[in-house]
Amino acid sequence: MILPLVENEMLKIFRRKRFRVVVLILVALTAMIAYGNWRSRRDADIRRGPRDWHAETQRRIVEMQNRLRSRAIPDSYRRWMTFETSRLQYSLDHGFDPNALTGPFFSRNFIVAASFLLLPLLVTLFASDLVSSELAEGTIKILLTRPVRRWKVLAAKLVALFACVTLTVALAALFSYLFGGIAFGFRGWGAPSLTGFRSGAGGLDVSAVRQVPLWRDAVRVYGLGWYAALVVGSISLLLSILFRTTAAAMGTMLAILIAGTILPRFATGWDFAKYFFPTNLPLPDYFSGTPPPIEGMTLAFSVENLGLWAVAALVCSFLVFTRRDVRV
Amino acid sequence: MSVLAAENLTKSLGGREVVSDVSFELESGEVFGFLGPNGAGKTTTVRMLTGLIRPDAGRVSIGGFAIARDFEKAMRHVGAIVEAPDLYRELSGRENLEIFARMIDRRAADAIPELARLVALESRLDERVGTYSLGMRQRLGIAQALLGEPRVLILDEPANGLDPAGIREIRELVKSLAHDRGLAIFLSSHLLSEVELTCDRVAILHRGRILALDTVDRLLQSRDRVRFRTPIPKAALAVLRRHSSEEPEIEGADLVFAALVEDEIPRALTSLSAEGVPVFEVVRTRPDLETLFLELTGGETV
Repeated sequence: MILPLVENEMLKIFRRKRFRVVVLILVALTAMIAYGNWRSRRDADIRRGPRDWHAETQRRIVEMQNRLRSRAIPDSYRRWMTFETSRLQYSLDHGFDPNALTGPFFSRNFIVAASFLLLPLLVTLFASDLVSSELAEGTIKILLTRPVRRWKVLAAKLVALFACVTLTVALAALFSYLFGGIAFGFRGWGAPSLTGFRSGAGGLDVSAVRQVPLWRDAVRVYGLGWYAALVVGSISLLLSILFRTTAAAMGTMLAILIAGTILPRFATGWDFAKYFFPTNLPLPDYFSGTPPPIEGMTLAFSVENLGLWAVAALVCSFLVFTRRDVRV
Repeated sequence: MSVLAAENLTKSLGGREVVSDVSFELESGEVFGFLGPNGAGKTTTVRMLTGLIRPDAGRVSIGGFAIARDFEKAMRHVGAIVEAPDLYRELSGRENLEIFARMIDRRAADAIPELARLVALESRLDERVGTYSLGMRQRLGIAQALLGEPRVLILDEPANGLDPAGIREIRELVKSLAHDRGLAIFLSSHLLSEVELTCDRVAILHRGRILALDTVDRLLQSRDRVRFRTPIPKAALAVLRRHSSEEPEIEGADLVFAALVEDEIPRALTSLSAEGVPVFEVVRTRPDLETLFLELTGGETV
């Protein structure tokens, strides 16, 4: 009985301009980034001749080690460089080009980079008007005076939202593969990829690093990006219920997400920031060799933390939505 | 049995009681007017009838089901427009109707062509609602409310923002739905003339309370006055006092107004001629709803 309601909600989302904007942004960004990467690769080749990745990686390691000796670099940056040198060294030792670029690699890297800010922003764009637009336009008065209980109406919205989040992540993967493939070739899903980097005491722990086919690594990255996007969608839905205008709901969520990218950088000593959900969004970073936002955070911690935020947001959403007096 | 019953509805908003102890019942085939000035509590009452807000006390049942307990069963029998006919502007008229039909049951969408014909929107049904005029949206709103063959139609200020022709159109539609199809129609309005022309029964709401509730005819009848023209009004007053249910009044040089029921008029005339009071003219006058409303609310206009 809930399926026709989901159909309604999907129709409403697709007919609004927002979702089309999201798709356009994805196409434009992936195309631009692929083109930018391709150009800088080509320029470097013209300047230095064909790329020798051994020499290049070696040079970068030495560069970073030199800079690490200087005292004048901030802690968070020092931490990142320590991780990065270990990662590059490991790749070099085991014969992997850390900057290999093929369509599949490009696609995986895009989701890694997108999962902590771009995907959440795109999800916010269409999630934050799910309920607020019905309040603002007054359509909620018809929606809730039909013979359907309120919790079913909201459940249908939630299912439609999750379907659209899934579609967004799938489109991000597809477009990044498409444009990455045009720029760097479509083949290479079976290429080896390094995964399993962990943060250990004082640096990068490489003891668990192993090579897996790139497609397996990519599936995991897409999955985690998708999970993070679902959490952002759930929290956006709550804001969309609490605020009467889409602008207020979206503005609040954007502020929170951007604060989340800034906070760990400036509050490295402030342990409490790790309970703040945006700090936990960059899930794929945990095993690709970047330091966690705050020392001591692990993938399991972040997955649980995000899960709790989402569940709490959904519980609040249902409580408020089913009880509130509609006075618009 | 009544199709819709409101019992002792009470609601406070922001610390002020906006609806106090409001009760009424609707029968099939009647247009029930809910008349009151802006801010009298009409919209709050409508929202309680449709389950949009929860009453602090009292209950609403529709088709025998309490909306607080059996929301789905109760709402199955209702179509409503609360305030403006707000529909999805980026969707077409047809898509709007399909969306709300899907919320009722699988067969509800079958009635869309017939409903479009009823509200005269067939030719524009596939255009975006954003391009509709207010009158068209109001009609689409009514078509939407009629999906699923409801037994009760709740219309909140349906005449708002419409031109005289639009108001007339809606009035005819409402009357025919009630009188030909047997729907019970609840119509809230602040327009006296509208209510007087459309409704069979009316409740007059003022500051959250129902001041009077009866058929329009009987409400007005209770205020019927008989006007006598006579050269000696003072003598006539003394005689009429014995027959009138309220103190008769003299107006101008030669007019006396008395509250007489029909049967009492010949008796009063007999008394007057027995006392030698010449009567040149006897006229029964009926106030309009506006006068009645002013009397009931103590001079506050609608």
